[in-house]
Amino acid sequence: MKNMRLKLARVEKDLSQEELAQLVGVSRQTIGLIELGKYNPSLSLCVAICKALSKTLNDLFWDENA
Amino acid sequence: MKLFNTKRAAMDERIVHTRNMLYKEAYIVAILLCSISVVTKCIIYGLNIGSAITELSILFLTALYYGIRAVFLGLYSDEVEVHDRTSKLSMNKKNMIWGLGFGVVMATFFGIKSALMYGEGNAQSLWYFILVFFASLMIYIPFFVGILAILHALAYKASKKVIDKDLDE
Repeated sequence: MKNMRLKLARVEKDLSQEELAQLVGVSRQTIGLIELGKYNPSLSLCVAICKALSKTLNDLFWDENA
Repeated sequence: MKLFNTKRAAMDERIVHTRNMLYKEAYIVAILLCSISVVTKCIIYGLNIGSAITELSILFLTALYYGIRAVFLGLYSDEVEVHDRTSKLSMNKKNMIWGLGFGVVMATFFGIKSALMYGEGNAQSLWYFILVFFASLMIYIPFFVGILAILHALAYKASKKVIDKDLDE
């Protein structure tokens, strides 16, 4: 399932996938795959992404419907 | 043991996971190639362990390495716990079944070998097969069941000790 909240938060911060990837220390493809829902990141990577985008884990990764 | 744990710069976890998956696949391919090589050599040169010693060493030593590492990282007891929780047959019972299986396979192999090599005529061949088969069953079933049960118990105990120590810290 696509993670639109992550994509929106990244765009809100005016960051490209490449820039977010550099901030959290992964490749651009990894960010792309997380946004597409094709890769499940570890908790530490989720936290790094949340910190980079000034969001909480709930904001970006908690699925109310799951 | 940090045999392969060299210090490296921070890596993308997806790359690490994917690379680990590829290592696993490469290991399976290597094991398959070794097994095919052993079977091929047995067909060409007959049952001669010397001709396939390299392949057998690779098969045995890699399995031994995994087993020892799994025990000393505390992984073995975790695997048993998860297995016993999800499977109808406990690991103990599965080991016994494997021991029985190995015993029956060995007994059948030696039975057929004796019948073919020493039997003259159908009746004598059948008699030799039955004789050697049941004698081998009596030897190999307790041997394999015992070996597997003892190894399992020792590995489980050692692994549990490691993981309990880790949890205490």
